Order: sequence, then structure tokens, then C-alpha cells
Amino acid sequence: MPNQFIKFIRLYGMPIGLLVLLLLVQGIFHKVPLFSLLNIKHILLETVSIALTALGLSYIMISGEGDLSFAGMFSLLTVVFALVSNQLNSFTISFLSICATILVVNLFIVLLVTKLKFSSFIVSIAIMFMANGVEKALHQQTTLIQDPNILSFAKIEFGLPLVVLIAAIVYIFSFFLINKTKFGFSLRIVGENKNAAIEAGINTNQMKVIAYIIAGLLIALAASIESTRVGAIYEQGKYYMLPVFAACFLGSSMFVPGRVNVFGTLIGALFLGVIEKFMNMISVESYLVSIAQGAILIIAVGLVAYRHREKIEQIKL
Amino acid sequence: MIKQGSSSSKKFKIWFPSTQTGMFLALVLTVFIIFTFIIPNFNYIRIGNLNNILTDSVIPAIFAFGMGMILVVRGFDLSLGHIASMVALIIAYLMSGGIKFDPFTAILVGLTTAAAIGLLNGLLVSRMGISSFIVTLGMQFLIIGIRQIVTHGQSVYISNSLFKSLAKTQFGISNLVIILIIIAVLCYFLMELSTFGRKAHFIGENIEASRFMGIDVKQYTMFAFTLGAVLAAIGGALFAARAGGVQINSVDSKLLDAITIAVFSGVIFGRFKTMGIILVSILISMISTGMSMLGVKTEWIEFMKGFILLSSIFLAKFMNMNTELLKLQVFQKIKRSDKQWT
Repeated sequence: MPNQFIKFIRLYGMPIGLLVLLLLVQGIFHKVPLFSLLNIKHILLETVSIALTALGLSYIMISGEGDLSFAGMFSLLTVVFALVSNQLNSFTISFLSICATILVVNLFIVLLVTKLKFSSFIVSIAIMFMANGVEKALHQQTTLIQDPNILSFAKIEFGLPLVVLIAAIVYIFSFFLINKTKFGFSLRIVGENKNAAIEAGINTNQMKVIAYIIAGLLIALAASIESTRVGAIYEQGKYYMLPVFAACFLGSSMFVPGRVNVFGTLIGALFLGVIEKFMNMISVESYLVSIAQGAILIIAVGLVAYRHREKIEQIKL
Repeated sequence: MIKQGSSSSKKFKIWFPSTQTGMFLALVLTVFIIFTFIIPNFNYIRIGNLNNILTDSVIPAIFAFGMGMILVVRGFDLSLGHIASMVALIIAYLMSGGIKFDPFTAILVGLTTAAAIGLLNGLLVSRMGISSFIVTLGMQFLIIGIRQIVTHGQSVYISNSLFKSLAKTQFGISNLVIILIIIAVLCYFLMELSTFGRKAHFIGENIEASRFMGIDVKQYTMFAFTLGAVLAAIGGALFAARAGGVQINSVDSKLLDAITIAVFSGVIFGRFKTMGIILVSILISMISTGMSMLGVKTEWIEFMKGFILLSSIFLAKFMNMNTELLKLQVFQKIKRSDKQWT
């Protein structure tokens, strides 16, 4: 019995702890209606792009690689979306153009990573800085999206905003894809133990390519949603780097400890969204949000790592 | 790691650079010649401009020393730029306003802060076993928040002439260059001649083996992170002295320089080579000065630096150079320990 209890705590301790934390916070600041219906809708709408980007990153991390380039690429994609939509006034064409951009970049990265065996980390850092440079070269000040039809995309509602429903469908699909299908199983093996995957006859390179393609499409979706939601584009990716990473690593501390998993990423993203919204509502200044997010990231990952410290064979540098 | 020249004569061997160094010098020469002829009126090879290039390369080189030290123990630090910004702000703040510290105290306080942040990074990495990448990313955002509280987003001007004289030019050569030489000599002794450096290199080569040899891996990792942060802080202080004022995020972007130079030098010359880092930073300063003289915008120069970082990895791959550095295991996972519980 105690063994089972400990196991339960290991798997579900983190989400329960986060929920208790939120309720505690709500109890202390009971004047702020954090969980009112309208508020939940707002939180969901604001978290959609973080959640989708984090899901894309999760695919890459499940396949055993790491990626930083999304932070730069996200800014670049929103700018490209704004510029193209201002020229052509079409949501579809703008969306396809950013899909094409991110796919080219991601395929380039994955080519270097799989065929040439580069460290995905250093490659993606280089890509991130290059994307930042291009983004700054493309526009100097805030770019506004003018077409009202495109801007209304984020406002379509069927009970919940359309984009939230899209994200929910994508998440459910991803959950089944990764946990229930043969493809997902192979993908997880590739990330877990590359040699075992090769012995089992899995084409590791192909798996990684697919993971990067899916991630690229998800980031493109997130970027288009973000630009239609915000409407005024200026260095959007700057604020996304930490929440997205924190969502993935928070997720890796629950349900399947030590592994990035879809459901965990969702919970992590939602938690960060709620925290950010809450801090906005009690009108703390924005810098405290970044402090809180950084601290949550370090503490959450630290707890998991510390629990396993005896088992850690190498210092993880 | 570095292949020696193939000559049999010992004397000749010492003076003849290795193949990789030779190729690198050829690259520097090519860049130099190209810019000499592209830029009108031979402005590129005026003494003033060459001096400028040398001075520009100082601060990135110091950052790269810090990053290189952390790379040696197979860590990675994304918060170096932000640490430097924070220290520059602290120093500027302490010397201005109502407090008016003298420069020495201000610099001391700044460097101590940097050392404390670096120590915290190192502790979290080595004792808690968190990946250095996550720790420093989180730290980056903690610093962003904290400095906003302290400064309210305003930039600070430095009026103290003694502090500004750190970046003054005397006898035709900038004080910065002299400081770089001092730091380079210290780094050379620490990382390439002392036991500390040997052991740190050993940890980078093989953590397991070095633990069996009795090297205190955790201690060395912690020390490397602290030292890296202090070096970055020195870079930030010099930046403040040179610019005469500090904006809240003015030094953040130096992280790119640090990574580019440290990785490029690591690829060509080996893990931590003092001379290599200085040469590479001079090369990068040559390229960026030349490009800005041609009227290229700063954004594209930033793009160029990222491109250089990427191409340095290509160089490593296709010229069969030192790829050891590229085997960073930043995204390692926590070992599952199901057996312990069930």
C-alpha cells in the first residue's frame, strides 16, 4: 500500500501540487475571480499559441533532439504572416507561406542533425540568431495587420473560441498518435534509446524528420493564431521562449517523470497561462511574471532531478 | 588534438603552425585582402581602422573566455549576456546617483554579484543535477525580472572619469587591449598550464573516468560556472566603461558573440586555447567592421554571426577537425528509476 501511494505521488504529485498552489493563491486573493467562466475563456485563448508551440517542441524532444530555433522562428513567422497578409489579404496564402518557411528551415536543421550528426542544440542556436537578424531586417517598428477578415479569425466562437477548439483537437490527436500508435511508439524508442531503435529496425532518421515536420506545422499554426489574435506584431517570440520551454519541462515532471509527454505539456502550458493571467489581474508589473516563470522552471525541474540524483550516472551538463 | 606539422626537424616543428592553424590564418588573410580591395580608398587598412578592429575584438574575446571555460566542463551558459548586463547596470548605478561609490568598490560589488549568480548556476547544475541549459535559461529570465525592479527600465550614464579611463586610448593603443592581454595570460596559466585546467579538460573528455580518478567533478563544475560568470561580468564592466552609459539590455546580445567565438575556436584549435579565442574574435571583429563599413545594416551583421557559427560546424565536419566539442549532451534525460519504487 505505501508503495502504491508513493508511486501515485510520483506520477501525479506535481499536477496536484500545482492545482493546490493555484487554489491557495485564489484563496488568498479571493477578490480576483480567477476561475470565472469569462476568465477561463481568456486564459485559454491566450495560452493557445504557447500550448501549440510547446507541443511542437515536445515532438522534437520526444524524438531525442533539442531545439531553440523556435524562439527566433516564431518572431520571423509572425512578421512574415503580417507582411504577406497585408499584401494579399488572404489568410490561406499567408498561412501556407509561413508553413513553407518553417518547413524549409526545419528540414534544413533536421538534415544537419540526422545526416551530418551535428548537435541539434548548437545548430538551432545559430538558426535562432539568424532568424532574429532577418526578422529585424524585415521590419523596424510594429507591423499592423490591416485586413479585418483575417483579424476576425481569432474571434470566431462556437461556445469556445475556434482556435481553442483547434488546439484541443490537435492535442487529442497528438495524444493518440504518440501513446497509442505504432508510429508514436517508434518515436519514443528513438528518443529513449537510439541503439535499441536501430536494432529493432526503426528508421531513426525518418522518425526525426517526421517529428521536425510536425513541429514545424504546429509552430506555423501557433504563429498564425498569435498574429491574428494580437494584430500588432513586434518581436513576439521574445516572450515565448521561456514559457514554451517551461511548459515542456514542467510536463516532463508529471505523469511520466523524466520524459516529455503530451498531456504533461498541456498541463504545464495551462498552468503558466493561468499564472501569467493571474499576475496581470492583480496588476503586478510584467517583470515579476518572468521571475515567477523562471523560478517555476528551475524549481520544478530541480525537484525531479533531485529525486533521482542517486541514479544520475553523469552530471547533466 | 592539434596535429603537428609533418616536418622532422624539431625546431621547424615548433615554429611551423599546425595544418588547422595554417588554414585559419589563410582564412584571416583572405578576409583581410577581400575587404582591403572591396572598401573604397583603402580605408580598411588605415592604422586607425586596424586599431579599431583590435579594440572591438576585446570585449567579445573576454565573453568567449567565460563561455569557453564552461564549455570545457561540458556545460553551457545562456545567461552570460544577462549577467554582464546586470553587472554593468550595478556598477553604473553605484557610481551615479546619490550613492557615489568609488569605481573600485563598485566593480568589486559587481563582480561579487556575478560570482554569486555563477555559483548559484553551478550549484544547481552540479548538486541538483539539472541540465545546465535549463538552469541558465531560467536564470536569464530571473535576471530580466530583477534588473527591471532595480532600474525601472531606465538607462544610466557614467560620469566617473577614472572608470571611463578603463577604455581610454593611450600611446595609440587602447587600455582595453592591455586588459585583454592580462586576462589572456591569466586564462592561459589557469586553463593550459595549471592542474586545475588539466583536470577541467579531463572532466570535459570523460566525466566517468575523471570521477574514478578522484577528481571532484562537482567542485570543478561549480568553479567553472563561477569563473565564467566573473569573466562575463568583466566584459560587461568594460562595455559600460567604453560606452559611457548602460541601457537595460545593452550587453545581452553579446551572448551570440560568446557562443560563436568559443565554438569556432573550439572547432579549429581545440577545447580551450587562449590564442585561438583571441584570433577568432579578431577575425569576427574584422568581418563585422568591414561589413559595417560597406554599409550593411546591423541586423544582417547579426545574421552573419549566426551564419559563421553554423559554418564553423560545417568546417569541423568536412575538414575533419575537432568535433569533440560538438558532442554536447545538453538535452540528456533523467534516468528512470522504477526499480527503486516498485
